[in-house]
Amino acid sequence: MTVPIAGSDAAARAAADRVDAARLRGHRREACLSAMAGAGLDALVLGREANARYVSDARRLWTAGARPFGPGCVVVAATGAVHLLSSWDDGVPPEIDHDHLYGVTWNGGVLAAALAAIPGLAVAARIGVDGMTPGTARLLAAVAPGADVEDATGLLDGLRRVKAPDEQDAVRVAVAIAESTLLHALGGLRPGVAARHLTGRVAERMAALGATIPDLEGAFWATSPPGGPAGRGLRGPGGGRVPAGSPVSPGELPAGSLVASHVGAMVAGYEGVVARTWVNAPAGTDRPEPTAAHRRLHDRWASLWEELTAACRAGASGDDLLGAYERAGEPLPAGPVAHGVGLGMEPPMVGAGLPADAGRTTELVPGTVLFVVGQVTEPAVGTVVAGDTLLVTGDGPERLGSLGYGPLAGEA
Amino acid sequence: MPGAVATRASTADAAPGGLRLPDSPDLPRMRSERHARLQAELDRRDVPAMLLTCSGAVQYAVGPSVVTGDGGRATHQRTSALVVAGDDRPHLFTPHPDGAPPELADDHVHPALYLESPGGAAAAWDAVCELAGGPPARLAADDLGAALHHSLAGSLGADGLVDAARLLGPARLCKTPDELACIRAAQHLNETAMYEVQRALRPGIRQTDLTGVLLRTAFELGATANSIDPIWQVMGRSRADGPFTTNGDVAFPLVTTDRVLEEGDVLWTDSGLQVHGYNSDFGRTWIVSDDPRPSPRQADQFERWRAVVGAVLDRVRPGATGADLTGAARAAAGGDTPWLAHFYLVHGLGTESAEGPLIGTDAGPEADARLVLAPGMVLVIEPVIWDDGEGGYRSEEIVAVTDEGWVALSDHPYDPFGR
Repeated sequence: MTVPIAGSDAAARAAADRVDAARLRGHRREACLSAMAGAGLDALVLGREANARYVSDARRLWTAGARPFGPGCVVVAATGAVHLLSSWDDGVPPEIDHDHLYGVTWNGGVLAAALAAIPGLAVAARIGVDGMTPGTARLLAAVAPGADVEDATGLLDGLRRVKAPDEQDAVRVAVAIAESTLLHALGGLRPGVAARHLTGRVAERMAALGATIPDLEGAFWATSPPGGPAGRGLRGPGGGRVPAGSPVSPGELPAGSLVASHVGAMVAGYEGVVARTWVNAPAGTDRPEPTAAHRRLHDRWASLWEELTAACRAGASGDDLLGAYERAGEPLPAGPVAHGVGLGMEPPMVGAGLPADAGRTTELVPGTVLFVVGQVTEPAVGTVVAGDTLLVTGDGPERLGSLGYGPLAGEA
Repeated sequence: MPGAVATRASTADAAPGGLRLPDSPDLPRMRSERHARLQAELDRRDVPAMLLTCSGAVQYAVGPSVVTGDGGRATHQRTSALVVAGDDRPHLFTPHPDGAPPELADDHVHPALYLESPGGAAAAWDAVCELAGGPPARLAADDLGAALHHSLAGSLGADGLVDAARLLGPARLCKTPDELACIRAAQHLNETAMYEVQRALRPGIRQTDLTGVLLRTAFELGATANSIDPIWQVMGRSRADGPFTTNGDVAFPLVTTDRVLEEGDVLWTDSGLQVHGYNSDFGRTWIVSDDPRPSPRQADQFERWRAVVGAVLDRVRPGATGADLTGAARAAAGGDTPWLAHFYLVHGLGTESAEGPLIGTDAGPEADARLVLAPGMVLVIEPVIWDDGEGGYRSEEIVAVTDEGWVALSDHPYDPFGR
């Protein structure tokens, strides 16, 4: 058993009491049916678990990573019914009747028959989907031979973009758990400790707080080992060499190094994520001592962060977040500088290498929730990366967490 | 414990294809041999290129280090692979280029593809066409996203898109010795972490606490990923206890919660931790107690379970069919079907937590009769003994088919039922 950090557990559990699950799923289902009517869709066939969760709120067994599209959830406009791939009713909300469940099968004919038996699906003229494999395309063509199968990815993204107050509270809970977890894990940061030790502390703490589903497995990596990280010769985007560690090559965390971290938890399907950079203690001590160069780098991060949060306002867009890097005089990092936060990572996806229609031009409105990342690099010193979950309101951004910025910011 | 494993084999020749299992896998050799198999499948089916976007398939085709996480994250920050017929190595598209296998040349490592928007899909197709030397006439694929699939279904036609599973399935069916070494290492790690969980198991602990102990220990031991939310299901005594199931059979596996475990609870466990992208699969039945002792009925269930596994293993050798195994299992169970109706008697294991061979599924007895065992196949044998009203017993054993019989890849005691 772990020793609780004062306040953190209580905060997370108190927040959990604020979410009205039945009200939330009623809101989501009505929004879905309304959007289907507006788009003229007769049915949705959903394979992305987050979309299935949005319309059904079913808690199904979690497995890691990206899986092939399959008909995991079906919504029929004419009946308003949600049908679900599940062999049992455990984790299935009471609004979904037993005869709206179809079981796991290894037989394509059995699956086709189960889908064909869903009232309204076989006769649908227009079916929206959120992914597709060649095999499932043939299955749907056999089940609903007269249907046009269309890309409904944008429709689902649109539904999920603006968060209802209950959804905002669910994200607050998840962020509280992620922050509590990260702080606990960083309590194990010592000169030379293996990154996997901290990853283990993340998993243990998250589970102790009741969250066993990671948004991502806790990642810790040194961005500035003394003696020069440049010697590692790691590959950057496009194959070029970059002078730093990374989440996929963590190794040991040397004395005195900057240590970046990224932790995410899922609670009731909603994501809470946090990134921080701490500084490891010098050898033989347990008190971190940021150098002057470390502090200058943190100051650059703080200036960038000010620009980023100022850009998170109603009426702005991802382009303004990219502009914040330009205004601060910092180059764009690899990977997203902002992404939507809801039932897991979602659009808008904003950053170098991401297409414009992944969300860069989407207008931010009150109720948009973004994870925003500031990242600054000084080749001889390392990288400081830190990010928070921000709710866009009519009065500017509200941070949905409360974790500090650690030794680099002069905090104990 | 390689020594212990070596003694748990049907014959002294514990090797597939005449090759001994290495103590540790040669990863570059393993990746090279997998690539050769995919090239052979592309050639056999006359498909010029294969685009893979799902985690297990990309692990097989390329084997990169990745940040493991939720499906939403994996979808919006995809790691993808392109295998072009005739190329001597695969292409990798990744948000973490330093996770590429070290032997993969820089000109085969590319920025991540984004498939969840029309603009991203168009850019992804441009990248595929450039690397494949022009638009391929046919493309094998798993999940293309809705936008890219829609446009390719128009341009390539109905026969132009091939389900990648048709190529991946045969390539993956029989493992190389290095792949078997990965699975054995993952299983050994999972089993080692489970000793810590069993030490923590007592009345008053929560299911989620067991998850914490398992995952903390597993990461400490060097697990590269956790692939499934670990299961610690408290089993009822009869099907009527619920929950409702669509097929009337016992509901398993149910999602873990913070339920507090009580004296006498019977747990069915299931977990899957990865090493180098390969899965393990741990399944045991435990009794929650400060002094766990099976009742005579529970002990009898365990003996019947063991008899089923023994009967199945007696038939495992190259040339035997899936039907031989289901027949042996039913005969040992007195004519009952001793496995869950929604699953199988046997499944395979690799970069997916359940892959071919699948034996005893609802695909039917003809499918089992067509399945012929061959060296290198991995068999996760998971019979279930259920006495309605008295509960049941379930555990899993993993073997690999060898030239003469089988060799064990799992090695964990059955406490408190037996060693």
